[in-house]
Amino acid sequence: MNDSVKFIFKTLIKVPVIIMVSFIIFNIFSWTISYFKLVGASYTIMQVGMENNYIPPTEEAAINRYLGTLRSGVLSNVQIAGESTYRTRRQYGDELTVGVSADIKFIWPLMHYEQFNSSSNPDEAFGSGLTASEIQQKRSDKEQEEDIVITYTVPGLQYYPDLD
Amino acid sequence: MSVKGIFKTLVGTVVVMVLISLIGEYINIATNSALMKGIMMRSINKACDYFAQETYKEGAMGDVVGNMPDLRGRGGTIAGIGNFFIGTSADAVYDSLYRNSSEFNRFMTNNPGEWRNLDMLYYGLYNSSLAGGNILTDDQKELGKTYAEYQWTPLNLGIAYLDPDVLERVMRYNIVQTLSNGNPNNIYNDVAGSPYVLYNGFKIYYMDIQVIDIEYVVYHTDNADEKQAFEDLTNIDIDSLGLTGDSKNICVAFIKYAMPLSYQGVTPLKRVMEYVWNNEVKGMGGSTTAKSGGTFNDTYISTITQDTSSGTMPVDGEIIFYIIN
Repeated sequence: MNDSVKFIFKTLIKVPVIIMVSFIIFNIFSWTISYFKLVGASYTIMQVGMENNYIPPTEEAAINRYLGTLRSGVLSNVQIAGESTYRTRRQYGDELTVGVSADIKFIWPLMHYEQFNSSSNPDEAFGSGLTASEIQQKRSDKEQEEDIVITYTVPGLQYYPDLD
Repeated sequence: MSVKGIFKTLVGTVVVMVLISLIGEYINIATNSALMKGIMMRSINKACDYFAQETYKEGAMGDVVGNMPDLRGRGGTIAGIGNFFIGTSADAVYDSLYRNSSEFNRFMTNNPGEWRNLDMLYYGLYNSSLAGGNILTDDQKELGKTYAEYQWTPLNLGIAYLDPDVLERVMRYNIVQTLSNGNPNNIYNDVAGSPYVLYNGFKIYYMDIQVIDIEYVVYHTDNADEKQAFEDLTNIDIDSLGLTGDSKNICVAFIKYAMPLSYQGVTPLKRVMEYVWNNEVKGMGGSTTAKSGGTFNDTYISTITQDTSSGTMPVDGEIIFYIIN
């Protein structure tokens, strides 16, 4: 094999390797940024929980607005996580587990992207042969996956005289 | 591989491991120290609120006189940590906080005549007028007795007076509970030295948490300079509040606190160094292999004080607390 043919083969191998390495670096970078954003959000949520012993509706709305801004091509399903009763008021000293959860998506070349936009035509939305409700079920199953969950168990520090 | 190559690989591996550990520790300290400080300040702030809510009074928190159940750590229950108030009844707690309190007397002596209602309460409590205080009429003296009978406090009169001992105990409870993340395994009360809470590599020696001092400053909002100083401190527009009478003199409590802590780390780096530190090579200096006992932090726990010159790591700070009536 002469040198020019060798060079062509080397280049053919090098190019995808360089592309994959670049994507790996990008994914590490995006994961780190996303993780620290979620740490910040979870800390804020924890502070609200600690301050009030639960997440009051007005604070929850404000938190959800902020979490909405974190959604990106990498992060999805960013939501308040923890125990399901985080909206229930409780007494000083009672524990509350609360934080944030999100799905993180690693980006690779030639990656399949699932379409989450609702569509009246199932063929357009999620392959063929599935009804709209089946598609919805698949989506909700997908949405329940939580790749990153950061929660804290904190005591309520607010005393409510009207509670036992 | 040559001998040189083997040594190069060994040294290179150690260097890389140490560097990775250092980077890990740096990220941990950079992120968690800020979070921890925020949690601590929130805990102290809420401790002030808790004291101001006077949970020891009848009807509050059932029959526990405002106290909480003791917390559990690795070594079992931390006896007395939830025991905030001294006394087994609301009357006994009230007496310990106001009737028989040297701290309350010091507060009154330092601030005579600032608030007529408080001077009346003082009369009701001690059946004598406060030296340098307001001259009270007979009606006011009688009203003062009624204040004391119904267990009124400076807080009820809109004056931010805090008992440092109770505040310290509530602070300690809040901090242990929050930093342990609800997990008793993070509370190391089974150690020989001072017990601590482990929070992301930080050891917080909770029994050494202290309220160093509470300094009370009264801002007379009739005085333009003091009014401006208060507004600068709190960002509150006094004019919009329409304060009258005693309320014009606002008491601000400057609470100085200290929390001794040390850093253990989250990587095995410290354990490796500790192992090397605590072991001696057999035969060197005529000694045999033996652990010397103690570790970096725990050996010198007795030197961890609130004095920053001690070279240890006390986190001291200050928060303010005030009530506007």
